[in-house]
Amino acid sequence: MTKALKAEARTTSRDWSLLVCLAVYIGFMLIVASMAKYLHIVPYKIWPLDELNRMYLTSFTNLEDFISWHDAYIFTPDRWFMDWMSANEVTPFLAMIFPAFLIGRAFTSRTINIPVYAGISRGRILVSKVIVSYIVLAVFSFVGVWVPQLFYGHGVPGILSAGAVWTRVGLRILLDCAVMSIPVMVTFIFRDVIRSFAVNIAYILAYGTVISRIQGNPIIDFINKHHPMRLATTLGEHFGYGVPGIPLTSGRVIYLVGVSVGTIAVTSGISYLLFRKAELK
Amino acid sequence: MSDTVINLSNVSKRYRRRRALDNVSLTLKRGRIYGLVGQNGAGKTTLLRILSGLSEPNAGEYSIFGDTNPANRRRLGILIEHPVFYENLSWKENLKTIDVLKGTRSDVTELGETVGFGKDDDYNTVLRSMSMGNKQRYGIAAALVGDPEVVLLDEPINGLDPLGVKDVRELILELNRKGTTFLISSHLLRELWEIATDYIFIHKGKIIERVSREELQTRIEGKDQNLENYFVDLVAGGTK
Repeated sequence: MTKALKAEARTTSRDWSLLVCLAVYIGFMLIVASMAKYLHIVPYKIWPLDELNRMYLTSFTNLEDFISWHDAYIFTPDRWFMDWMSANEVTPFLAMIFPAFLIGRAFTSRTINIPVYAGISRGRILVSKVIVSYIVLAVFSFVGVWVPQLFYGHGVPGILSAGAVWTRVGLRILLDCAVMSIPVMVTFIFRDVIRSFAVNIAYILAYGTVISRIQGNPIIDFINKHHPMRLATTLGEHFGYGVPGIPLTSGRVIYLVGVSVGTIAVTSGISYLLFRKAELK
Repeated sequence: MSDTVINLSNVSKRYRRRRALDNVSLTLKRGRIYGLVGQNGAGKTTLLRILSGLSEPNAGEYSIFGDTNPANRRRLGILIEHPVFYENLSWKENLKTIDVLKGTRSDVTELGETVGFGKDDDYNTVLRSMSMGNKQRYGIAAALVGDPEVVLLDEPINGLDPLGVKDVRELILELNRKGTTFLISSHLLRELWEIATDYIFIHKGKIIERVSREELQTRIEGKDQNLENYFVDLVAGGTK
């Protein structure tokens, strides 16, 4: 396991295209933070999809009310953090890209064959790929909040305790991994870049725009209630924008961890079954 | 140490309706150079793909060093069809990665030099921007990481210039003298004639003949034949 993981980490860390993506992402966040700090333009006005966020529409009677409230809102470091956490566009966007990019590309370029040739079992190859993909996602998640946080929120006292923030951060990362585990499974089904990418986009869009809004069907209601994307949104939503939230009790923490770990375990198990005997190019 | 390095027993492989391998049984002995000879689509690459772990047989069993454990593949060196490499890494970094995966401690610089990467070749040039010949050289070096006991090569001299072909031929012979076993598939039968100690003829997924070089020489002696027209006669069902 260690050898496969070491090699995977080694090749991923030398992947210039990934580093360029990270640099672009940091640059974008810095621009957003600069606009907020110097031009007093709040980030959500330029965060393209965010004004369509369901939370805004349900929290305010109209968009103007939201904007006027938002303009008067005082940002503190932890509130910024929670605001970001309630923005549910980032993780699905990364989930569309990363699995096809990191894992699909290994199939397309046939680099997945290299550990096979070296005698590494397919189970270990899968686990190392999944772990490294989640680490990359976590890095992007952290960057997405800490760059503007350090830039914008520096010196401003927080409201929540450090422990409360870190509990939510940990849960958010875990839920992000669970969100991404389904696109990872899709990539192990199609085993290439183009089809995996297309299906992942279709899945995220279908869930985000249609399935999550359907009510009345017991199966879809169940999926919607426990879907990690929904849980990630509500985790931030309850503590962002000063909206009175549900306390993060230990029971709820266990539930969120259970759903995340369960989703990851089930999707990884299916991925393994599909990959175990799969024909490689 | 067992004399048998690879053993296939009644191995079959189907791709939808096409039967790529049909009940193939084969034993490869240590220290030999096997030339795998067959037409396009005869099943040569399928056979190598199964041994390398890319493909699973539909029926039959195979063992590598007497075992079915995939970890035994670390004792193999493999080059199938085209070399595979991490595009963003140099040839040296790619070889080092394979070394990490195999858990060996190879001198990758020396290995690169063995296949002809000279001092003029920039160690930092990423592999994707190298010439086809250099990629092929890399593929051979990659197959030799970790000092493998058996090397599987599919069209190893594709894209190499005449000097490169000569270098690879000499390298194979030198490694074989040290005890490395080779299974080489190639369309260039004259090249196989230069190096192989045994020939395995495969046609429509079946092994139709297996013969040592000495025996083959005896058979074609005085008949104005060579490996090429012997193979043509064999496939056409002509006299041996």
